[in-house]
Amino acid sequence: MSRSPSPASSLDFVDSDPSGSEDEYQPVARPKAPPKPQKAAGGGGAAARPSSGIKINLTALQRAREVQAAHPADTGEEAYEEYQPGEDEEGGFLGGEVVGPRVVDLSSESLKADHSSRPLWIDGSGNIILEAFAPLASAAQDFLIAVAEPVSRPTLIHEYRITKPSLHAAMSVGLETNDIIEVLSRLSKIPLPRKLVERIRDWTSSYGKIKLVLKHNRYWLESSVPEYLQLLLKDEVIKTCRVHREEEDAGDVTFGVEQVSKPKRDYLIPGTEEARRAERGEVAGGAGGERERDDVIGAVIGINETDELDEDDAVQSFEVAGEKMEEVRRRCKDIDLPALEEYDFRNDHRNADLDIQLKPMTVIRPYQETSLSKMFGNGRARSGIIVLPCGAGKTLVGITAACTIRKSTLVLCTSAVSVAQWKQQFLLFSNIAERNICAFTQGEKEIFHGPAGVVISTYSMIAKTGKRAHDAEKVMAFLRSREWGFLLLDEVHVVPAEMFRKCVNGFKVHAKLGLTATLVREDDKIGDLGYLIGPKLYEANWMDLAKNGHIATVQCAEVWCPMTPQFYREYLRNPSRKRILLHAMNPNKMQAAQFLINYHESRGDKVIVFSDNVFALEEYAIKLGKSFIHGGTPEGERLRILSRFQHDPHLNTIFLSKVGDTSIDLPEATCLIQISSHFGSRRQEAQRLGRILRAKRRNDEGFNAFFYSLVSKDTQEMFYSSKRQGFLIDQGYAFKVITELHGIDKMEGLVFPDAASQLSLLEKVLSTGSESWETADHYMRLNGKHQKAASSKQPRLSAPSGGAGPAQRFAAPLEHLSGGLHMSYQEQNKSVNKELAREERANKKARVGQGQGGSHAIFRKRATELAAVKKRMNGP
Amino acid sequence: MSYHDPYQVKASNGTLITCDSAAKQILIHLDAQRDGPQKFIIRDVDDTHVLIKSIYVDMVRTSLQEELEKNTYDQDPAL
Repeated sequence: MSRSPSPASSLDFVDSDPSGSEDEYQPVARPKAPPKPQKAAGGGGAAARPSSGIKINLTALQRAREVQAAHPADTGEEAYEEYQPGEDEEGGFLGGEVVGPRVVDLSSESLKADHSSRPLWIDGSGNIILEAFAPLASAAQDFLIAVAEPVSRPTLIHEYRITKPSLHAAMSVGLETNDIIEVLSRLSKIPLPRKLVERIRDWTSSYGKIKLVLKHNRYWLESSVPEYLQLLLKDEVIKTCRVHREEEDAGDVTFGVEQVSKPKRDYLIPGTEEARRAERGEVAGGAGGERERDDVIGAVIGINETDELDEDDAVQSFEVAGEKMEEVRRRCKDIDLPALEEYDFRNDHRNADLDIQLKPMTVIRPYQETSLSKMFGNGRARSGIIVLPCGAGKTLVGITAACTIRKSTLVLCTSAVSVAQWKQQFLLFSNIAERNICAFTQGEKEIFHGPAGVVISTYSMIAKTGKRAHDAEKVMAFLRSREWGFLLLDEVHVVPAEMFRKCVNGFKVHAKLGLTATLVREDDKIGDLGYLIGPKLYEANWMDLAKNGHIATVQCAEVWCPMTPQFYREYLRNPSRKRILLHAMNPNKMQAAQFLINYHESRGDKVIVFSDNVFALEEYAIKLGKSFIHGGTPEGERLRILSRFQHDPHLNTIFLSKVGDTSIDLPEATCLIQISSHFGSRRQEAQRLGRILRAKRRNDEGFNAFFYSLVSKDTQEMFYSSKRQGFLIDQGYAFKVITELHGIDKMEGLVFPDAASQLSLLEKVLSTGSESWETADHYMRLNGKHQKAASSKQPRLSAPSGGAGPAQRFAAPLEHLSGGLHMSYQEQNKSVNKELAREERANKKARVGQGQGGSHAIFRKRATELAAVKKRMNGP
Repeated sequence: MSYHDPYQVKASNGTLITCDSAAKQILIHLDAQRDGPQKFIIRDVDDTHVLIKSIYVDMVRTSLQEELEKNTYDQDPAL
């Protein structure tokens, strides 16, 4: 492995394959033999689009060259080859030599004359390759996000896939089949494969045509295509659910269907650029100023514009009974006409308005605006899921949505800590009165008084089965009895489907919004979310956000630590439960951790070390002299350590267990080291990365946050580590592999330097019970262990408890019996946690002392004098 | 009964394997799972060398490969 000569990074970086995107293709049978490639006719582009053509092509080529120079081992190579004008295009697609059995061969397709200004390659099975450096790429990206599933988004080449759910999501935000096909074919370098066109038509034919609207507190099924409504009206099940009303009979056209004009968004989402412009007195209608830039590919891309296009279409609807909603929804799904749910909140006069507005100082970022415009695209609130990276302001999106709907809102999140955070953020960003917002957790059970309000609770509180406390029962009854305008679900990916159904179906909710950073689960339950909440409305590109400074730029590295022979021997011999402990406690890994902590502390970084394994966490932390927090750490101690970490320049490293994966917000942290993790969980990896994405210093020039994953070589960890990285790699992160930490051999005070100490560590690891790798409460056990160790050095005075051992009798002076003769016990590896507690006590004592006039004679004298003066002043 | 000479010279065909210490541990582990004539290690030389019976070389190579494969992650193309 090559060693980096630069002293700046004294670490050995070996580039790993950043994406491998070209390896992921399904083989597609090509009926035709590869025909001759069509050469790019230099000026051919001018005929179709005079504005683009050679010039843009050259800029792109130039840019590709620059990028390639910057990242020699990056995907840039393919990009570069593609842009060789007049080169043989056949081999160009995937860099020629990498063509293998899994690669889709598009060489049989004929290129469009002006292909070089079009950014997409599309194959028959719906895979799309986007050249992210192409001039039209950013506009194309906006469009692709709406219609396709992002698969992998590294720097230069992005990969998307058109799937049924992704098309459904596109339909749900108002795109029409023909628009999708039209734009795709305009952006594609090759004519759209007929197979794909057929498939898109097939998939989209029925979806999104039927909408379930809650209006004036009555449910309506509406559609702009009368045939579908007729179909529904003839349906056995739905027929019975229909509500007939006499007063409306007059207005009925055939089939009792009403006509209403198509809704249009004629209000503003607070906090957006559009809204601010309107405030300044400019015409809101001209808000397209920014959007005009993507006029090149026409108005079809913008969601709002599409709605205006078919403004003339009349929408027809009929009413269905509210109590039969569930039935209708299921039936619609069964007959392949899934109904979308929308909430016409402005026309809902029965539910009281909530007095909530964003504070004027609150500014929402462009991507937050985009995601919200997807939600409120046609003037009604759509249910769905918004995916934003950790630290990119998901909370603000939720709050802005609540401020737009302005009805009673129910917020569900994962823990009591995040309940408190949500409440605080609501108060921070909006003008909601504190009495209108209340929390429902184990500790707090409040009810708002008044017509409307916000309730924040956790999933487990709501979904709890069995007996509840009296006051909790009262709150639940209150929650169930009300009608809610908006249900906000934080971190939706964590909730198992069953629990979820309980949360979602238990309430009368008009609109639902799910927020998450990682829409992946290791089980395949993610699909259920689409059914329970709605389609994915928006997914942000992590790399773009990092580029614009909304989240920190992160250098990711995987550090390979060889197992010592003794540890590896035991690793091979032990069952898998114990293996976890063995590869976590590998002495080489501990040395690597120590080295990295020292290195980053000396650079002024604040370091968080993550370990899933509590035993390893404590061992590491105590050995390296750092403080730690895990499930068993008392609340007061937790807060003390966290606040010291934030404010004390001498405490730069903390060790966290799983409890720190989410919900602990530490914007000071700039470096993250992971020593043991939860198998192959991609979500955990991304969530942990999220801890440093919100780094305060992220906008400093040249600032990088660091993410290290320490992996014991030749163990399962290697397998899981690669699996875990999958999600982040698809977001465009490249993991470097470090096989050797440069300079670690010269470091002083390295832990476990010799074989003897390593063996004793091994012994300790092997002798710990099997319970120690679980996240139990070790805190008390740890305290007990120290006392035991102390007493074993003392002469044994009595038989062990239980009376089983033989009695021992010896003569000794009294101080020996009390342990005061010559045997003294000193703790070598002290827990920093305890030291912090001691300091805290000492500080408090000192403060109390000062309150009485200070300890020094001068201050005492001054205090008495001051008191005397005061007395004299008050006296007469 | 044939006469058995305890000092008779026994020669067996061996191959010296040079590997890293982890691979050596795997070899020892594989060897420990076999018994009697199936054992292939003749002598454990040092941290990175081990002498094995030549006839087992191919078998050792494949089973070592298998063992190492277990720790390699192949991305599921369906994901």
